[in-house]
Amino acid sequence: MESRKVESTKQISILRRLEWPIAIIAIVGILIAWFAGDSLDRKRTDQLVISFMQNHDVELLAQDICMLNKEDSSNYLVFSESVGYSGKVKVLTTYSSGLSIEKIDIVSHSETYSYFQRLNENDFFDGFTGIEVQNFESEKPDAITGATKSTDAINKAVSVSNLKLAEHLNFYLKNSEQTSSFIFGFKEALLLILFGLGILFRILKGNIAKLIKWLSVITSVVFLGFLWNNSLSLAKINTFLLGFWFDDLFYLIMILATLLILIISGRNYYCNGICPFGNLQDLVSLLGNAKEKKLILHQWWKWLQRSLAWIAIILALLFRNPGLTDFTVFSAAFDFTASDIIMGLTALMLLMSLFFKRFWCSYLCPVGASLDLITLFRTKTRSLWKREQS
Amino acid sequence: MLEIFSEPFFWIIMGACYTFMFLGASYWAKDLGLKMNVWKWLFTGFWFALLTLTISGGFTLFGENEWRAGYYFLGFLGVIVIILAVVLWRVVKWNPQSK
Amino acid sequence: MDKKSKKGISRREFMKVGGAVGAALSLGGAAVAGFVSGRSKDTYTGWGPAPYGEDQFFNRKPFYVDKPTYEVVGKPERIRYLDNIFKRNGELYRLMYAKDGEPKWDLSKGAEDLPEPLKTYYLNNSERLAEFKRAYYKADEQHKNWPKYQDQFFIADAWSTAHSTSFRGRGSFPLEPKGPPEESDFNGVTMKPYPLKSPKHGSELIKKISHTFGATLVGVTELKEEWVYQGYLRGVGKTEFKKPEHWKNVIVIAVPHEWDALYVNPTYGTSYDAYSKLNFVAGKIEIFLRKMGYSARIHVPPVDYDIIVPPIAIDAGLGEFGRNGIVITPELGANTRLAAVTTDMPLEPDKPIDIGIKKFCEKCKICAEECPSGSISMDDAPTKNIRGFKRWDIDQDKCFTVWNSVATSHSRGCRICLAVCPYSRKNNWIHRLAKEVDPYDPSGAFASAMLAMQKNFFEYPGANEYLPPPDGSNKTYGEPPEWLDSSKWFDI
Repeated sequence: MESRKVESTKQISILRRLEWPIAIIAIVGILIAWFAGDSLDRKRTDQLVISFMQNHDVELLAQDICMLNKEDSSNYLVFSESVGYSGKVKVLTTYSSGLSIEKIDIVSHSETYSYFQRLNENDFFDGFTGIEVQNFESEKPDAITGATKSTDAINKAVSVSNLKLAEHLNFYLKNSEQTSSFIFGFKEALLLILFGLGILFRILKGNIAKLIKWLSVITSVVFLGFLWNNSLSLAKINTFLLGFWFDDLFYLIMILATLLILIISGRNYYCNGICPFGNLQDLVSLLGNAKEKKLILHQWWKWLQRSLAWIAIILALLFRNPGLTDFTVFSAAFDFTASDIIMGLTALMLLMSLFFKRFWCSYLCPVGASLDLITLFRTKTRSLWKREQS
Repeated sequence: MLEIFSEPFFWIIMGACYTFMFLGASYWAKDLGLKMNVWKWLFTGFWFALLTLTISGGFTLFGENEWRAGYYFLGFLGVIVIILAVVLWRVVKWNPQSK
Repeated sequence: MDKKSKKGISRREFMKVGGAVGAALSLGGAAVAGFVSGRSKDTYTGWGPAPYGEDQFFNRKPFYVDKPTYEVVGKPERIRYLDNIFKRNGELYRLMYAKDGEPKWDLSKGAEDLPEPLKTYYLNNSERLAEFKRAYYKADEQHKNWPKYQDQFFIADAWSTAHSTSFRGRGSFPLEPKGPPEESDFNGVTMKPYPLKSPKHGSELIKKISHTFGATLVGVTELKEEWVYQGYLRGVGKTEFKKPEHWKNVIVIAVPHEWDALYVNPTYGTSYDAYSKLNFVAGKIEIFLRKMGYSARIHVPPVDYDIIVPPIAIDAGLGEFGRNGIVITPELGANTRLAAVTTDMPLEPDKPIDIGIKKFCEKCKICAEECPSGSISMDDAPTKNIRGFKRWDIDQDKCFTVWNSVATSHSRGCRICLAVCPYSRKNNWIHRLAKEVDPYDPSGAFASAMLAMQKNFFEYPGANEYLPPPDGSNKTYGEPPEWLDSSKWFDI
């Protein structure tokens, strides 16, 4: 008995000592995956361009820009991409030599078929024909009801194409500043309030604090969960890492506030107060009078959780597809949109939380694991800083 | 084959099953050391009805050849029923007099 | 029991074991009973286990409203016969395959070469003519493809033809109107009607009679002028006319499609099963009314009508308009096929109902997502002003092109929007619970919860999958019943 205890503490201390190098390796791995994925993605697009060029009389002018020579005229072709409803939309825009759009072609997309079909049926693509580059921002086609995300993505990709062309041909594009779609509405306000309640909960004590906690738990489950299904999933983290983040104020607030509080106070407010699935588990735990427990070999499980998250992020970065390896159960719990395995996992996790407080968060959630990495860097830098001071 | 189960005889058997269940329930409660009252029995009855409807509903969808819908129905309501089962257990165990 | 107690099992333990076994068996029984009610053909809508389906009628009383739930946004306008795709196409076919063998028009020609009023119509609606040509070529392709799919679908095709034959070159029954309605509608009337005790008695009698003839739902209302076609009148031909005096009241009847075939649309199903039923039921009502001394004229799909029936069914409280352009009834859902009989018999009109179907359709959109032609509007709320009424728009031309595209022997329709509608579910306890509870919840929260289940639990093939390769894979909404599965009965 005694010796086993010693052994396990020994194991923990080994892990502790390895924490720092492992964290560095993790960061380096993510960086490598990012750049490797980027170049792979470029190669794929280049291949599309090359195969197009082989079939047409095309001359490559610059990255993503080429010239299509026809008998009596010549066209500019520009490749660009943006993020739609469920991944990247790659668009090829054809410009006349007079710098108006002739047509656009969708090179590839992963949008839902029936929604995408709406665009065709509403003659959305024809709406681009004849728009002058300079007037695009004011004359671009309206979003199609029922496929807003897809239409927005295509419009955005064409805007990017316009910018690329303007840059290449060295002309000034009016209204080229990305008109911000940041609107501070009820959603954003509620999110800030939830963060505020989290801070208030820290300051206050007793029954008022308890009241505040359960108030914010229920608000989060109802609004962020069932009504909006807006949580920080692995796919969201991947989108952030891929640099497609800053077009949604809600998530921007969510991630910046989380990071800020994490770096300043070392507390993970997101997982403990905002995350609707965490709060849903808390509600279930309350019903089942669950206890806080730890699995045997707790630290090893933790590292398994972190490795899983790390591998999932690396793969998503390599294949440039944010949702590829997402195994978070949030949208399964609130929207039922997930594979059968994830649906089963969600049910299992909710049942676990009847007896075991936040089993998902402790041993599986990749979001918590990713934030752990930041916590680790924070403590390490702090202790380094302190050592330097003394 | 399936017609047997819409015969009145089937429902006579079902009635017998329910009778046995009701008769046995109080013995179970006593032997488990539960102090039951009307409210606890009502909650238990409600829970059992929900369990029955969940199972029956899932299998109704199976019968319609909506297999996926049946599994999801059982899974979704099943989780709720199990959570309620734990709540039910805590309620019937709760005994304010003994405190 | 004696034996058991000898072995040392006490009464107490016996009761406990018995109770536990009883509980377990009752749960097993609930599972089996559920499965049986899911399988049972008695739960097919429209044909309940009691005669005439009386056990399944929805209680309309709490939902009666004074005004129908469709929204008038302009001056109501009578529908022109050319606004109906079948009348329009009929005119074109008559030119292309003229009786004297000399084609007066062909597909290489444009709208300018058409005679009036087709010329004006198609000059104003050039995209409709283009879609007609597309549909025509698709029909050609469909015809050529049929041998490829015939093995799989030939029982369905024969079944459909058996139903549709009653329409081709109409035999002696029901009678085809000849001459102006003032004459033809009274054809066979030999006596003055007995005085009815009251219009209420008239309505009650005609409903009972219609049920015995085989109508699942019957409603009665006054005929409004705006529901009468203009430009063409059966028995007379192309003519401008006013609503005849004796088209006072209208009896609307509804029957569902054969359930098994509805679920395997577009390829195994047909519209003619319901249409031929309606044809006979309405035809018998027509004869019955004339024998009673009243005028009568039947209006039956697919083409034999001078009035537009769905809004009349709404007036008569059978149901409400759906996104898919179908009248959705609480009993049959979108699986509702309508016909009507106009008469001068004094009848007490029914009241329209409001059970919140429009509100549900605003949220649901399943039919629009599943529609293989994309002709159902995706707009949240109805926005189009169609002849003075606010409606969701249906693109009839695109819809018809898909009829000409699916793997059938000829264009026989699609009906996916009927089959996928959440209201078109079986009449078993679980769907019935949803249908009966929802109208009593004005907040719509119950409907949203049910819709979430419908969308997330149930499988839908996806709009394009219903089309033949290369666009899709000839999928049907459900699995075919054995009686439509040709490989089960024939050596193929």
